[in-house]
Parts: sequence; structure tokens; C-alpha cells
Amino acid sequence: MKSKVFLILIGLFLCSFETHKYYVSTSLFEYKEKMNTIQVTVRVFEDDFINALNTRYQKDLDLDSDLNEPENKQLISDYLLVNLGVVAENQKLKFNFLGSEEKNDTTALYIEFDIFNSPKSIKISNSLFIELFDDQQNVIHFKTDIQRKSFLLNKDSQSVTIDL
Amino acid sequence: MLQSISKLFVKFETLKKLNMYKNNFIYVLILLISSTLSFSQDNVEKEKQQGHVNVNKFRQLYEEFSSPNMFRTASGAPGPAYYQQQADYVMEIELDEKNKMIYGNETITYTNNSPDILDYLWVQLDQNVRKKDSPSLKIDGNGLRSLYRPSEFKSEFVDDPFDGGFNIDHVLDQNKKPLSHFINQTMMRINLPYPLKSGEKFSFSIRWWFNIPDHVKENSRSGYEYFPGDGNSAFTIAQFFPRMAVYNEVEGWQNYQFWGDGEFALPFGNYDVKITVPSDHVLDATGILQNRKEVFSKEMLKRYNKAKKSYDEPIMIVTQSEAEEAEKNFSNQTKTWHFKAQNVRDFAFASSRKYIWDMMSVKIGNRDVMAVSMYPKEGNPLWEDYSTLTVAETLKTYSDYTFDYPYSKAISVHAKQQGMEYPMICFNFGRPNIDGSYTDEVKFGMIGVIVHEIGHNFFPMIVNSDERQWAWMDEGINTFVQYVAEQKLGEDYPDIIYPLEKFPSDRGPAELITRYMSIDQRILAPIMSNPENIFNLGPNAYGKPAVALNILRETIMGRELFDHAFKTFSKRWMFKHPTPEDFFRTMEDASAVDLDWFWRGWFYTTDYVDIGIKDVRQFYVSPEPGVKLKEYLDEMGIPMNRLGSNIYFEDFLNDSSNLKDGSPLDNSKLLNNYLKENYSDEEIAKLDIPKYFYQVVFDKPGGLVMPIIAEYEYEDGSKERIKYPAQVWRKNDDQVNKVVLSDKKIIGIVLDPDLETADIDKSNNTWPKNQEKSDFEKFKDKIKG
Repeated sequence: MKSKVFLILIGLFLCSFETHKYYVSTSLFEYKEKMNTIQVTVRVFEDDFINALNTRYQKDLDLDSDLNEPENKQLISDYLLVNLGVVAENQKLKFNFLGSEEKNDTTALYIEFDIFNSPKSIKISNSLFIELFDDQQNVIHFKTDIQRKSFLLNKDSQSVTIDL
Repeated sequence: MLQSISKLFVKFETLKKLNMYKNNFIYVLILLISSTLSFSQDNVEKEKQQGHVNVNKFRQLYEEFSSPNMFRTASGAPGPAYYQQQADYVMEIELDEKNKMIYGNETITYTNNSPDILDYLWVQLDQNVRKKDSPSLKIDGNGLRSLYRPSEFKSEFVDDPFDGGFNIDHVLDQNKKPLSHFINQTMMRINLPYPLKSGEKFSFSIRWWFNIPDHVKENSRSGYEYFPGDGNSAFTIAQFFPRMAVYNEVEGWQNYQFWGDGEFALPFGNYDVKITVPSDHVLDATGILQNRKEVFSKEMLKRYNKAKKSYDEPIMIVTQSEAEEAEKNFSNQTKTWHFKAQNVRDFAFASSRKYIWDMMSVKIGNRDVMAVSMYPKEGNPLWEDYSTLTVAETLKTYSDYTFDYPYSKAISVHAKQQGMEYPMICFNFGRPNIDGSYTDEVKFGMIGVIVHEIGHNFFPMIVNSDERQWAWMDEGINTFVQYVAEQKLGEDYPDIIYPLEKFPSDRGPAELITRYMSIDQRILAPIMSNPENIFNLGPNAYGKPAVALNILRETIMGRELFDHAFKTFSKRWMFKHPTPEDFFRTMEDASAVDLDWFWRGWFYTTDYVDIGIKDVRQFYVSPEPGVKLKEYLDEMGIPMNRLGSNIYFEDFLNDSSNLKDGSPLDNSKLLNNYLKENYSDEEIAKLDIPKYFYQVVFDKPGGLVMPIIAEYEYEDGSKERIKYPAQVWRKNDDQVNKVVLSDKKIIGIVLDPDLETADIDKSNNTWPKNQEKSDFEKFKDKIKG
């Protein structure tokens, strides 16, 4: 699995030079009404993510760090608390950060929001990495049994309201 | 319905005129409407449709391509009137280590091989991109972030920008008289005293100096790295002299400004360069060293001669302990290194007293080429173990797929975070931790960048494309061959990649580009875009074209056809200036594979691959007309008996007579009788009559055309793969039906099972729909234990 990690790193440099990386995260929000939950899978570039944690919390994590260690997990949970949210009926939904996993050339973060009483609409906010990268783009895919929508969030638009 | 009926009656009338038997009318009628076992339910009369121009994805690229001519032929080869300009340089360069400055004096002799008369010449002043008032510092939008580290804050808001532009002392003609010139950003126009006619030469001299950037801080292609531990610097110097721009029949003068991303367009020429550096530096550069006896110690010479005969291990020319010793002194004396290079498009050098230096010979064809590495001790033990070996392996593999490497040496220099290529020399990252330990990531990253940058000797240093206009032509093509070479290296040196089975290439395999190709369309640009206007140069100009070529080789053309055509392109344009069209045309011309649709989709659009299975239906042979057909006959008022005797298909879903498990022979007396009347029992026994009939509907939500690779899995566990060529989409770009016949029941279908087409959405690639758990659920199960 180690080999996967370095792929991202050379993505940064293996260019003649000065190539800009693309700063994009992709989040899949799956609303499972019957289970009273929204399952969220956030995919980020591992180096962006570690960079964000290090900057935010003055840490020295690197690509070899185990992100599922309790201390690191708490850090990520704190970061997500500030930067990823779902609001339904003016209530910020509680979430549970399950952990993270390396997958292909990215890190996947798994988060579960509790959602009760089948609200008519929800508001998703995502400001991941925006404090770090001015041109960060956060893609939201929202999916229920009957609908599927995609949104592009960035510095100027950090949240979206979806009718259910 | 109105429309389809009226259409039918036209056909009906036509048939009548042909005086055919009545029953046949009905048969043909039914054939016409039921050819795919689906009856039109179209009840709405449409508005009158408008015409359109040719939008077929398989139309030829006549509108995109320029007309072939005497310079460049329709076959993709240089034409009879092909020409290229030549720029020869004689230079004297001085490195001022203490003040981090370069002083230079050059005489350029420019030969006008074009049929045109030139009134002026354009010279490139690339370093002007680093002038503190350079417009390139102002072209990117920016904004304040909500948090900064103190060092970032200082460099971003407090420090003055580095001033690293060229300072031109003078431009003189052959008689040492000032020559009229004008500087526009990174381009200098030389106003010729008299028009330069075809076939004539013009010589002029420029004297200049500039401040060398700290390439670690400035993130620059050329510069120095400072080592605070011993107070030394390592200089990796390039774009350090005013260079001629390219003039040709495609662009006129290629004087598109250097903004920072679009690299270089340079003519070939011969170089005679003397570089003066502190006497305790070691230096290597583009070209052949002319005064080895003056600048080498006796011991170094002895080792060098040994290296010339060493084909399996590098010989140390300067050892680590010698380099560490040299680090301690800072000589005030200087030494001049003299190089000559024939037929190169550029010149670069690296110089430091910190350098360890090793060399090994590698046989390319019947010639010996020197594989060379120079690195500070900070690169060890990684560099002494892998650099020169990687250089040698790269030269071999690239030569196999293109042409024999024509230069006498190839140098890999270690610089902290550079990855940059020049003729015969390149600067590469990959640094171990201070204690010498390193991760696999650092090791494979270092090997990967060396393969890439050494590979650039072929593209664009020899196959000399215009990087200023087309980043993909050198980066993409090179990244593709890099992938092939990395895989070969993994096969040849399993110990290096152990315990992996393949070299972990970061670019090349189709699957690795799917994430990029599925991002928001607003931040995508076609490959055929100027590099300055591309959002993400890495995946756009490196990753995507590399995948495209890999798909051509593995999935569309096959290795034999591809490799021959690719080699043809490389050989045709060796030491010449190809355009994208020359590449596209040659790949077709040498292979007889029409690829216009492929170039159009992959290179001229931001479309992506997404092919899916929309519907799968099973049919059986029935003695009676099926439900749908009956309904249709009723509606049309055609009595059943008018149909005559036929073999009918019925959908499994409509089975009411328990015939669905019967074979065609079980179910159709008519077929039985027909066979018995016309064939012997023996012959009938030999017939391969399929038992299962399926109709599969493939759809294509993605804009890119691709072959459909379908793997059918049968009841008994066996699998069969059918590849429908991309042309299957030529008449319907949205969906295509396919009848699949078999003796065994199909229990599953998977599209693109080896992930070779870069299909961005796999959720529609399986039938029955994949019931596999999502990543989220799998992870949740896992942590629950």
C-alpha cells in the first residue's frame, strides 16, 4: 500500500516545473432515509490533507503517519467539525467520524450524520482546504434512492441547500 | 405512432409494386418494424426537424488540421521543402559563486534556411520572467487565506520579489558596433542592418549578467541550492543565456512570451562553451568536454578511462570522501571547463564542490554512451545505488522504442526539488532523510523522475516539438514512454521493486486518469490547449496524453501496430520540429488504423469515457408469435394466419407456456422440419444451434467513443470476452443493441473488466447491477470488526 502514497507526491514535482496541482476534494453524501443516516465519503489528496492538519494544528504528520491513531483521528474529527456540516431544520446534525482509509491515490474519510424526522430540505456546507488553497474546489455528490445531484463549492460558495 | 405507420405504408406501397406474394408483405413488414424485437410506442408527431452539419464522431479531422503542403506532408512526414533554422553559439560564462551571479558573453551565428527574407530576429530572454516587475507575477488571481505560517506571511507580504532578470550590457554586430534591438518582456527583437536572405548567415554578440535564484525558495527550473551545514551551494544552471527563438512555416517567429508554464521552443545548433568556476568545483554540462586533461586530476582521468569500459557498475570519478573533503575549502582560484556540442537545441550545466560523480558505459546499438550521475552527499545512499543504473536502463528502453540515443552521454544531477531536462543533462529530485534513510515513496519518486527527465532527451531535445505551444507533445509522449520504461525497469530489476510485482508508475495506466477526467468540466481544458491556459498541467499535459497513448497501444491498435507507427514518428522527426498533426498523421499513416475519432475525442475535447449496460433481455424460440407481435398485429388489423410459418422469439418475461427452457429444436416444429427436409441427420447433429438468445443494450453516457469490452460469465463459471470495435458507435452515439447467442446461460456481464478504457463510472459496468457494498459500508463493517 505504501507505493500508493508516493504517487501523490510525485504528482507534485514530476513535471518539468511549477505545475499547479489541482486542489479538488470529492464528497459523496448518501442519504439513507430509512436508516436515519447520511453516509459521507470524502476523498482528498493525502498531501493536501496532511498539509491542512499540520498548518491548522502545528503538527508534523507525514505521509507515513497512521491517521487512524486515536490522537490523529481526534484531530481529523476536529477539522471536519469546523469544515464539513449538515444542517436540517436549523439544527446542525451530529456526526460520527468513523475513520480514514487509503484508496487509490487518495485518502477517503468516512463520516456518518444522524438525521431524523425526514426533513424537507438540508443544507450541506464544505469548506475543506479553502483556508489553505485559494482555488480549492469541493465537489459534492448528493444521492438518495430517487435523486442524484452534484454541486461545485469553492471559496465564494461554501454551502448548498438541497430539497428532499 | 402516426409517423411510424406512415413510414411503414410507404415501404408497403413500394413492396406492392414489386409484386411479391401477399404473405411476404406481412413478413417483411414485421421484419421492418421488429428487427430489434421492440415495437415503437412513439405516439407524438414531432416538430419538423432541422438539418445539421456533419457531427459524426468518426468524421475526419479536415477542419482541425491544416492542409498538407510541401513542408509537411499528409502522411505526417517532413515534406520536400521542409527546412529548419540553425543557431550556433560560442559562449564564455563565468559563475560568481560568492555573489550568486552569472556573467556571459556569446556570439550567435544564425543561419536562415527558410525561403523567406528576414528583417529582424527574435531572441528569448527567459530569465526576464524573474524580473521583479515581470508581468507574469501579476497574471494569476489571488486572495487572502484565513491563516498563514509566519514564514509564509513574511515571504508573501513582506519580502521584495527576487530580481532575477537578464541585464543586457550590450548587443554588438560583427564589427563590434552596437546593434539596434528592442526588448518586449521575455523577447528581444534584433533589428537587422540589412534583410537576411534565404541561405545567409548573421552573427552578433550579446554580453549579459543576472542574479541566480535560490531554486529551492523560488521553485525555479534553474538556480542554486544552499547547504547551511557546510556553507556550500550546488548550481544547476539553465536558461542562462539569450537563446534564439524558432522561426518556421507554422508560427513564423515563435515569440509567444514566456509566462512560466509553457516551456521552450528552440532551434538546433552547435555550441562551443567555456565555463569558468571556482577551481575546486566539479562541473558537467551538455556536450563533449574538450580539456579533460586540464580539469581532471590524474586519478580522475584513470577512473574515467576505467568507466569507459565498465558496463555493469558505475565507477566513482569523485568519491564521497573526496567530495566531503572538497566541501571544506573555498578556493579563490578559477578553472575553465570547455565543452562542444553538435546538433543540440540547448545547453545547461551543473557545478559545485559538493558533487560526488560516477559514470558507467552503456551499449546503445554499436556505440558506447556514458551514463553519468552527479550528486551531493545529501543524496546518498540513494543516488549511488540507483541513479546511474536508471540512466542506463532508460537510454536502452527509449532507444528500443524510438531510435538509438545519438549523443555521447546522459547526466542525472541531484537537486533538491527540481525535475528538469536539457540536452544530455537533467536535474532531479529524490532526497533521503538526514540519517540516510528513505521511504519507498522517495526511492520510486527518484527513479521515476530520472526516467522522465532522461527520457526528455528524446522528446523534446531530439524530437524537437514546440513546448511553448504544446506541452503535451513532449510531456505527454515522454510520460507514455516513461511508463513503458519504468515497467521494463521493474521487469529487469525485480530486486529494486521487491516486494511489488510491477514498478508503481504514477501515470500511464488508464485507471489513474479517471479521477481527473471526471472533475468539474469548468476546470478542464482539452489537451490541445496552450499550457498557459490549462488549469492543471500535470494531469492534462502529462497524465491524460500518456493514458491516451497507452490505450492506443494496448486496447485500440495493439502493440505491434502502435510500436511500429510510434517508431516511425520518432525516426521521421529526429532532429526536426514536428507539430501535433505530424504525430497524428504518422500514427495513422504507418498503421492503416483510422484514428481521427480518437484524436478528436481525447485531444480536442474534454469528453470522458463512460459506457454502461442499460438493459439485458433473454428470449426463447416460440412456435407462436410473441405477445408484443400479437398486440401489434391486432392493432394493425392483420389476421394471424397472414403471417405464414415463421420462427418466433418471445421475451422470457412474457412466457406463459413454460417453453422458455426449451431449445429452438424443442420449441419449433417448423425449424425441425426445415432441417430434416434439407439436411441429413448427421449434418443436423453437427449444427451448432444456440440455446440461449440475449439482447443486450449498451449505452454511452460519456462523450468519448471507445470499444465495448464485454466479459460474459456463464452458468458453469467459464467466461468469454468480446470486444466490439469503437466503430460500433458510428451510427448511434447514445446506445447500441447486441444479440448474444450461447449454449450456456449467461449469469453476468462485466464491461471493461481489466480497467483499460478509463471508464469514469463503473456503477453501470455490470449486469446484474453490482450489489457490492459501498466503500462506506465496507469500511464500517471493517471497523466493527
